[in-house]
Amino acid sequence: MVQFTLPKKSKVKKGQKFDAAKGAENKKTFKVYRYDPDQGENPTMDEYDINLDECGPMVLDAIIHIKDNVDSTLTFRRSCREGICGSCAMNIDGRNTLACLKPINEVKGDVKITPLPHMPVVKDLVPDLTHAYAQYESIEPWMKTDTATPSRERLQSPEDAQKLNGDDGKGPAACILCFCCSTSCPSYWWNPDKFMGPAVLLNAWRWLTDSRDEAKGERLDQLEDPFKLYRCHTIMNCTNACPKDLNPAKSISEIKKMIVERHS
Amino acid sequence: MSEAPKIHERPLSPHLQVYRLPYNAIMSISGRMVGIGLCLSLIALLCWFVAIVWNPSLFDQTKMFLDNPLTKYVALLWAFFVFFYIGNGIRHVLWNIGVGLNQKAGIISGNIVLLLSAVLTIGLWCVTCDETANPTTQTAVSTSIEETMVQEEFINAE
Repeated sequence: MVQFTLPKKSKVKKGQKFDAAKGAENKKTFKVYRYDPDQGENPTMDEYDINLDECGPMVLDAIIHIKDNVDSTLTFRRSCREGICGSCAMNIDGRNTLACLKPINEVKGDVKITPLPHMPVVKDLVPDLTHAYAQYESIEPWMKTDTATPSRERLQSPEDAQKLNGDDGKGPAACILCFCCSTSCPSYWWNPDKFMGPAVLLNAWRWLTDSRDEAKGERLDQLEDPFKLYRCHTIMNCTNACPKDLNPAKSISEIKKMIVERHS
Repeated sequence: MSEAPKIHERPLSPHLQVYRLPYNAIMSISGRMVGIGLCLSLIALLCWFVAIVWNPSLFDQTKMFLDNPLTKYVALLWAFFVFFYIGNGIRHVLWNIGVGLNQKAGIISGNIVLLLSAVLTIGLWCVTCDETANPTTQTAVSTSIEETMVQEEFINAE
């Protein structure tokens, strides 16, 4: 059932204010979503004034600066800090992206940071991705073959490999599973239990279009469902959100076309 | 033995409350709302016409209402929404066959739909309001002038 408002216990209240930029000229306010599972109170928006001369250029640099110097209780995921691990996916200034790829100076005014939208929150900026990973597992994202195992690798022509990698390196194989796209999709917000979401469908397409995979029919059978695939209404928030510039909307459309071709 | 810590139900992160909807999302949701609006208004219009059939005395009131210039503007707005809805539908059909399915093309095709809807509405205005409304008002005015002239002559003759 579509619920446009947040449940009572999820409503965000006003939080604490930390001024860590006293007397600084180059400062900015970061408003960060906080939730402490030990207390069980409603989430809050805490405000941190930061001296930008003391931290790096990206939003991730700023929240690491907060954790190191202002408030060590702030919790978030991060690893590679260069847009390849997909850990620091969050909603910054109203759009989903990777904190490590988002320059602070691209945000006008205060920087508002919340977890990936419409997800259960474990703590602060850490969403529970268990369900999204289970959906990813359900498409069996590995190579499936019936033919006898060859004595060496299964070969693929450069043209076939390009279908996965894209001629600009932005093909479906470049997905880092940050789930920025799925959690930006209103259809996924309203039907997270039935709709696969753009990230998982992009990866389904990655295996459907792999010349070495031999389970195309089986994969399409599994996706041909009013909810799993067809809840996509081409709103295109996914393509807009992807921090790697991939195009999940196009991948979903390709799967739909593949199903039509199979019926004709 | 110490008590196990209580596990609280996880809150739901903000979604519509924080998301700045991109251009294509705004086009999408307005397309849906326009669709619902057109559907409901068509049903209302149909009920109204059926009511006229049942109760002919309503006809004069209806005619008066339709002659009101304000009604014409509302009808033009309605026509704009019809054009917008058809345009958006064609855009979706193109997407379904894989044409223009990326960020930039989506914005361009959206702007084309808005522009075309506006042009078609203005075209409709030129065709209906200028040519049909003005002649009728003109004739109405001229007949009333003729009437007063006739009346004046009548009075003068007396």
